Amino acid sequence: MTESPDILVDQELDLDGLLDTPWVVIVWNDPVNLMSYVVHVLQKLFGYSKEKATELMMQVHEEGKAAVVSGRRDACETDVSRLHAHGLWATMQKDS
Amino acid sequence: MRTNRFSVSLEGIEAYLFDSEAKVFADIAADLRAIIETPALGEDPVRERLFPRAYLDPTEETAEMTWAAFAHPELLESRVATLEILTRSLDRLAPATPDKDAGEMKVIVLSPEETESWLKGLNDLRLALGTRLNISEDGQKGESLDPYIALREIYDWLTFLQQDLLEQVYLS
Repeated sequence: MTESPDILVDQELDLDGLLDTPWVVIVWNDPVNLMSYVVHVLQKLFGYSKEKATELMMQVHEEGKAAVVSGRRDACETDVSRLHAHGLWATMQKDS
Repeated sequence: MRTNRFSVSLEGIEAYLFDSEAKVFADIAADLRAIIETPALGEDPVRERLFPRAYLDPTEETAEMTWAAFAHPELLESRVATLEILTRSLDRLAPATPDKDAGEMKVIVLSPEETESWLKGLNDLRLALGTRLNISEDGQKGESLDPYIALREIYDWLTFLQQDLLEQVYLS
């Protein structure tokens, strides 16, 4: 083997990153999840301050949804998975 | 007698339960595990709530399938591991010392990892029961049919436990 496949993969990812439209992760309101739990999860997963996490949680609660994080498609897919693992209802879409 | 079911001590996080509660807890954890581990025959709202889509846009169906093929098995594994840790910790329930004012309740000392599994496990159990009960607003009644009354009591009890865990351990 003459070439490391890792290097090829890295180059593909970089190209993707340059061409990709920004994506955004949406958390939707849910009748079961406790408000304090949602704040805890947003702090834990994204390192947000209690104030920022509370603000986002209130937006979800009052407006039905909130954009909690944005970035490349692959990063957003990972964040959606992490939110699902914590029981939050999250989806992703192109940033408009 | 103590009203809080969780407290932080020098040894770790203490959880207090009656034997009867531990039994219900273990039973519903086993039920949920069976639901998520058994392949669905048709649509199941509980499964859909615990394994949601990442993309709502129907033109992203290929991305959705690629993501789900990778993410859902991982999510299943993580949910099963959480329920297992939670259930296994219940085996350590032991009588509390008199200074704990626990009455007939028994106590388990949880590690930080176990505590996190309790928090996530309580949430998964509430999501599953809440979906079965059609709970649609905070505190709203949902299904009031006879067979659901016991489930509703369990749901309210899990809500109380999760709230207490958050207040006593995570937000203190």
